[in-house]
Amino acid sequence: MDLEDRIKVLTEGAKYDVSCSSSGSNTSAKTGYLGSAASSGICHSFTSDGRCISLLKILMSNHCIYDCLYCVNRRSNDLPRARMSPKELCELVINFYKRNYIEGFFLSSAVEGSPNQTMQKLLETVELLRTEYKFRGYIHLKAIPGADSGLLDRASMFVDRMSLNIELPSERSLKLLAPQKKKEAIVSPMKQLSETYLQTKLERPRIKKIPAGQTTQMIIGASPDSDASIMRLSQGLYDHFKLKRVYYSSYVPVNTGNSLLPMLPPDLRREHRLYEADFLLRMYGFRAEELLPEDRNLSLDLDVKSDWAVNNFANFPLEINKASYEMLLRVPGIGTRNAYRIAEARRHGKIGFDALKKMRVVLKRAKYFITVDGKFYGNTDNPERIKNILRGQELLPAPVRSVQLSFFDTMPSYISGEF
Amino acid sequence: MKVLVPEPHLAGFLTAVYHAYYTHKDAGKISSAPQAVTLLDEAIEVATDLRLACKVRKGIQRKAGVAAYTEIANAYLSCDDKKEEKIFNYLQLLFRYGRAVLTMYANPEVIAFRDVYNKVMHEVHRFTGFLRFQELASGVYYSYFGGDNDIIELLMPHFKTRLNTQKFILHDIKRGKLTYWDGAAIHLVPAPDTVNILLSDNEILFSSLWKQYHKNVAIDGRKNLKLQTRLVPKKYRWFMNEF
Repeated sequence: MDLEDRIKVLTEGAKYDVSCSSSGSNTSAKTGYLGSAASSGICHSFTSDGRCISLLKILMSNHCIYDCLYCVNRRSNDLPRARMSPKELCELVINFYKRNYIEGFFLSSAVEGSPNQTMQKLLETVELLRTEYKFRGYIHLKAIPGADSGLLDRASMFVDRMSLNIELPSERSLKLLAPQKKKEAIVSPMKQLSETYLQTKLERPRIKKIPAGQTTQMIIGASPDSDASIMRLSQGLYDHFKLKRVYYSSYVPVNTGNSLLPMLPPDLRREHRLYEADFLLRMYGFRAEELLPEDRNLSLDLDVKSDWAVNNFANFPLEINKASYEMLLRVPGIGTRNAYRIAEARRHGKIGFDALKKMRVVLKRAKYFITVDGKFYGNTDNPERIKNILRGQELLPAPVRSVQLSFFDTMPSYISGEF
Repeated sequence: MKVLVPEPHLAGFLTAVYHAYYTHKDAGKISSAPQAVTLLDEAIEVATDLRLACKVRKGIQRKAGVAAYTEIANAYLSCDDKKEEKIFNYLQLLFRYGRAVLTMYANPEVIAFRDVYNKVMHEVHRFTGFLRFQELASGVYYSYFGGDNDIIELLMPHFKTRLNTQKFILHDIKRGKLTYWDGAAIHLVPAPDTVNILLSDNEILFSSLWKQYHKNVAIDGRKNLKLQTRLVPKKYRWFMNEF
């Protein structure tokens, strides 16, 4: 196979990995070295499915010894197989980077030979890229479950971020759908990486290992796990392993003819709601137990924060000029940025309803949960009705039409100069 | 209303600000946009005076900090034809309240200014990702583009640090501006009317590999062109080789 075809095959094999972020690392540029990493991350293009391309996401090889049911690269699938050498990969990265196509490199691999052999190859590639090619751009490396901890530790010297995919939200599902993968082989390296990351953060050593931390990914909808159990798992990963992100990937039926897997792809809104809940955990101070106190799924037709707010309506309405920043964050329609701005702005004077509008607070949601200088602007304070309105199921009463005063009747026009 | 009409560059605008405070205290607004002056207005053309502009710059920096001035200078690069009025309104608050203006997020004048500023910076951020370089036969990397705002000078520092190992050219085709990094220094020059480029041997290969990658990495079952268009507006695609 020529280079072009191999790149095609290895891209196809990598594209179901959803992580694309290039943020969290702040590597300054250095004279004589190529590249830097911006802490905000930079998207360089967007694909026709609306996902960002930030990193060159590619597999080193798609020859796999495993036979996981949900995976496109499983051993028993009949598809073209390819591999690329460390040097070929480096050349591709460098040439893409110099043309500003990409922000960095996301290298993963199917498990070829053994976990150690595969990890060794991956390590070889990132080491070559950093030392020979003097590349300082962003690198995200997939760690191979079951590889030696020494290899992992060495690789972490050369990359910004590392990740292990937890694959499925429960051990039971893992046993069922990926019987060759063991929970311990995934969890113990994650633990190791969380220690590495903490060391980098706290001790600020000269060689910064994985400065952008670690992430993970799980497949949603291939197994019967509930959203409540998924969010509790994520909560645990953030609490105990200091993960930067958990990615959720709605199951795409790439393999057919297996009764253990659903035939149809799950409702895409589920993935969307899980991300909403995930952001509420990471940036809004929510806990998984608050969002989903019982073992159930997230509501598909109402966003997670609104759902929480109507179910906990006793907390509302909040006075916008008094509520704490932490509580502002809990108001539907107010995001992290506006919560901060409201908290800052009100030190200079009371904030009115018009100002909130100008600040682009989403008032069609927020108005049911706030008062502005003592006044409530919603048309109802019945949580059940609010729920229905927000779902868009209840038609709002038509506004009373008032006669609009005509500007031209009463005032001379300064625009046309007529008096 | 008295309207101060500055020359259309930052120093001109700052000079006008000086005059609005000292020589034409009754001026109602500052604008160099032709439609800003109506029949009833009295237009006063302001000649740029670098000394006065400098005074205003220092005044801003003293009143609200160096970063506040940078924000204003960057906002001035906007294509908004009301930018001078909006910046001037904001400056009046800045001179009255000092640093406090930086956090007056609910003030309509501040919001109007921040909208102008944020649009400029958003485009800068996008362009740090969207610009494409072509390798020329001479080994120099060449990039052409053109956005809504005049941001070539804000893009340069980003690429200069990141791509310091290669010589490259940024060419804003819409504004006829060109800046290049020769490995040691940055130069800003007016762009020639026509540019002839000779691509390197590798260029076609990597450009086509990139186009192929861009196509292959998409998941067909999840097509969402509306979202894609929102994230990469069509107005930018003419300088991105994958579109």
